[in-house]
Amino acid sequence: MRLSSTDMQDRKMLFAAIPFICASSSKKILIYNEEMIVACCFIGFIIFSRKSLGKTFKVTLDGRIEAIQEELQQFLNPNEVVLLESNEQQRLLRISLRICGTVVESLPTARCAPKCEKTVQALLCRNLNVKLARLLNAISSRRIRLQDDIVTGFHLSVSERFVPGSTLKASIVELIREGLVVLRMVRVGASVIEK
Amino acid sequence: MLLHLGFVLLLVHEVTKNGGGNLVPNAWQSLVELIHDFVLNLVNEQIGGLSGNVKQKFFPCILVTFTFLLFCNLQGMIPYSFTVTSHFLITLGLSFSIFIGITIVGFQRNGLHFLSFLLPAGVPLPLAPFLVLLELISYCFRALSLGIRLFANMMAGHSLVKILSGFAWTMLCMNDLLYFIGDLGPLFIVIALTGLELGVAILQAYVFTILI
Repeated sequence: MRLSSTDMQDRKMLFAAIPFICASSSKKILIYNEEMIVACCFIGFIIFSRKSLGKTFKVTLDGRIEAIQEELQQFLNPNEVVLLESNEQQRLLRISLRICGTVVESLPTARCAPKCEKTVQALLCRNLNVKLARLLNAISSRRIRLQDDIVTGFHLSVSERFVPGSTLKASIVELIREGLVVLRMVRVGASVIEK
Repeated sequence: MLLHLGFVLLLVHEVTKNGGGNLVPNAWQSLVELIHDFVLNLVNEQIGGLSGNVKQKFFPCILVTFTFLLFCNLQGMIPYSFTVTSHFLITLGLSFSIFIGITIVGFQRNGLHFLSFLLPAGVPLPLAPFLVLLELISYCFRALSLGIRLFANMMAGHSLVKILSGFAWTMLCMNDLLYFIGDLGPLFIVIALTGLELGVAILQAYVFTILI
């Protein structure tokens, strides 16, 4: 019968525990009293809870770790995500504007009072403005996060190179120039998306 | 207590080395982050009427209190160890020191306006003198009740486990098959009580922290 790795580990622990108990008892380190019953019950409870709840706990932790990994993957490609989302949002905004224009035009002005037409116009324009503000906020917050990530990565790589007595001054200057170029590209890219 | 402090510091150091831990946490780092998030939510939910920055000033004190009590209680569950929080001196010392600290900070920040919490909003004026007295006694008694609650829970739980295990040991030493079979009952009860005590240990740390 094949034994799983956990069963093998449990057997090894049992084989290690028996001589430990014998040695401790002979040297009077382990005293046999009611505390021994408490210890056995405690170990029994730990084994029982590990068998019943161990998988649940592991799945919860693994789920959390996977969620963080996915979010990290998204952060590594922020430009593409922002571009796709902003394009989608812009397309939806254009469609909404067209619908708004069509709706306003098709309002039966003979039947409706002038106020009704103005109310509809004001409502549609307010909704469009709210959507536009949300899109701009999302873009700016993504840009700020991307800038923070780049600055942090840049700081880490520079601090690695700043070893005392290093003769790599020329490469340090190049590194700083590259970093500034990347930051400029990010700013230009973000302003193009905003337009 | 030194042992417990050593364990906690070792765990925190293991998790936060390499400049604050890994971006993708391992199990231990996840555990520490869960405790941190739990206390953060506690602080944000329970402290009302203040801005986020002001609330965060109280976070270290609450986190240290919760972590200290949690690890003290859990350490007491280990067989052959010593439960620090099952002693009246420790729990009362902790609750009184926190109570005095909060009162001093309250007077420092708000001056005499701190005493306005003794009269809750919407109370009729004829009732005010009695209510103020009642609230004052309740506030002063809070320090005592916090310490006694924690001490009583820890002491009662561990005493019960020791009594039942002593009963089981006596039955086991009888050298009789009948007594040996009958010993299984107290054994199962002690196992169940161990689980209950673990839950009570975590819960009492939470209750103490939330009632500060």
